[in-house]
Amino acid sequence: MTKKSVQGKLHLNFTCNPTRLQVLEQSPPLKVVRAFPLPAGGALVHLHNISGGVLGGDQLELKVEIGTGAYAQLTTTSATRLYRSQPDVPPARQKTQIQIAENGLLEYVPDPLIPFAGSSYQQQTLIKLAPGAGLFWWETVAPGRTARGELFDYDLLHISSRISAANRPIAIEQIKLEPRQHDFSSLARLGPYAYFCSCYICKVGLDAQRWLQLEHELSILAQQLTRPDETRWGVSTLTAHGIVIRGLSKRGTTITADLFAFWRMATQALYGRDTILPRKIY
Amino acid sequence: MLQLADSALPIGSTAHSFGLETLTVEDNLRVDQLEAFFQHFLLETGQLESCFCRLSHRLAHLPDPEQVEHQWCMLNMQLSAFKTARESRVASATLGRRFLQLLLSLEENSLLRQALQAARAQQVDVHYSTAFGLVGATSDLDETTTVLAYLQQTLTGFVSACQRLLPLGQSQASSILWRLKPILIEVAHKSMSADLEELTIFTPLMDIGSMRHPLVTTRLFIS
Repeated sequence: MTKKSVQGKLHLNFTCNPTRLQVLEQSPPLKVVRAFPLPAGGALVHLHNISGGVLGGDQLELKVEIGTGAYAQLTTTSATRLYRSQPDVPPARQKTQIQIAENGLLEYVPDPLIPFAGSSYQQQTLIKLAPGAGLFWWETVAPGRTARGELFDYDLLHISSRISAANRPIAIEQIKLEPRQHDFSSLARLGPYAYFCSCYICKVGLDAQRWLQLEHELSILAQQLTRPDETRWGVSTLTAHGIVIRGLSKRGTTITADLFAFWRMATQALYGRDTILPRKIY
Repeated sequence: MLQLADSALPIGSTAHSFGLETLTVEDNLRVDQLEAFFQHFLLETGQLESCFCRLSHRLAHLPDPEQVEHQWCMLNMQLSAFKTARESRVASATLGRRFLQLLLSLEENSLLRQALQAARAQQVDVHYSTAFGLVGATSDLDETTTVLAYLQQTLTGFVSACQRLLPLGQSQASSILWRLKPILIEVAHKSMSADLEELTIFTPLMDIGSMRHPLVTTRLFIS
């Protein structure tokens, strides 16, 4: 650990009836201010990083526990900016551990990750789902600060995500991108696209046939949202208990709106209600 | 092993493109791009599957049958979790199951029988790469030879699919396979230090291609 690096921790616990937030641990730069009640009985929480982004060498930990029957919505206040690292500083790290108890529901819908030129970042996300637990989670990754012509100029982006249900892994995504060493434009990788995202929708215990039906319905939406030569969407059932939606885009301007459309359809299908979008300006 | 790694082995491998068909339809994958495409494919998917093939091969040397059974199921569960595109996952699982069943119909083997039964009992997929690794070990082939044979078979299958999808001649196909040998060897050697926690793969366009395959109006392949 170098002198410059920061160790930030945030430990959130959500209990039910109605859903309440308990902040068990909080140290800068990670911070939450308060929870906002949601019409469907849940609680919305904005995750703040008061340094404005992830600085080189930062070691951040987020722990979230969703109690039995609790319903929480987590979002960021803006895109997560990954700043340039000094050569002598280890990669910035963010470790997120999430546990969702029986019949709990978490909607974790952060803004995109933007890796700046020279940034070096490792992210590990572990999600454990109990019987009946529900999850909506997406991750969007930009190629850099595109407005200034910065594309794939970062040093390292290492993302490891694992979702398990009933002690079985149902989704594993492990990518290690080092743009200076790899050609992303291959059709075996990103092809002509620059932005990529994954969205996981899970509800433990739902019948496999029901997931196939939802895959079909969301695939039709994916087809409608796909714009040739700009954005491409695909939908698939996971090995059990869920669905993944993947998207690629050249410009990224419509990704969030498209994700909202998938979220709306899936919420209606799984919970029989409308989606409540996070209270913030997009 | 030459017979088992032959694409003519009746397990149905010629019926699958693993998303390649969508790429030729929607992303204009062309013949002149194929060599580079397969090079990157081997470095991503080939690398991942090689590691699973190798780890599966190592299971045959464990002394405790219960440990073998547990780790065999865990390996296959993890590979299923990596394969988020349903059609490709199901294709791999179909080939793996048929491969083991075919082997058992040719010759009885207690380890292969146990592996198939354990997967069935625990409702776990049997993937092609893991099945291939286990069969290589029970056939007394060393790890690296088994992994190389697996990669050669997989690559040949993909190139063969391209011959049906694209104007790719037999000489061109053979040249591509020949020129990719160094990559194939590199991938097999890299997998020697296989560690499940460290495995990475980045093939979003192929994944989406596989996910969008059911929507392609005219299809030659199941996946």
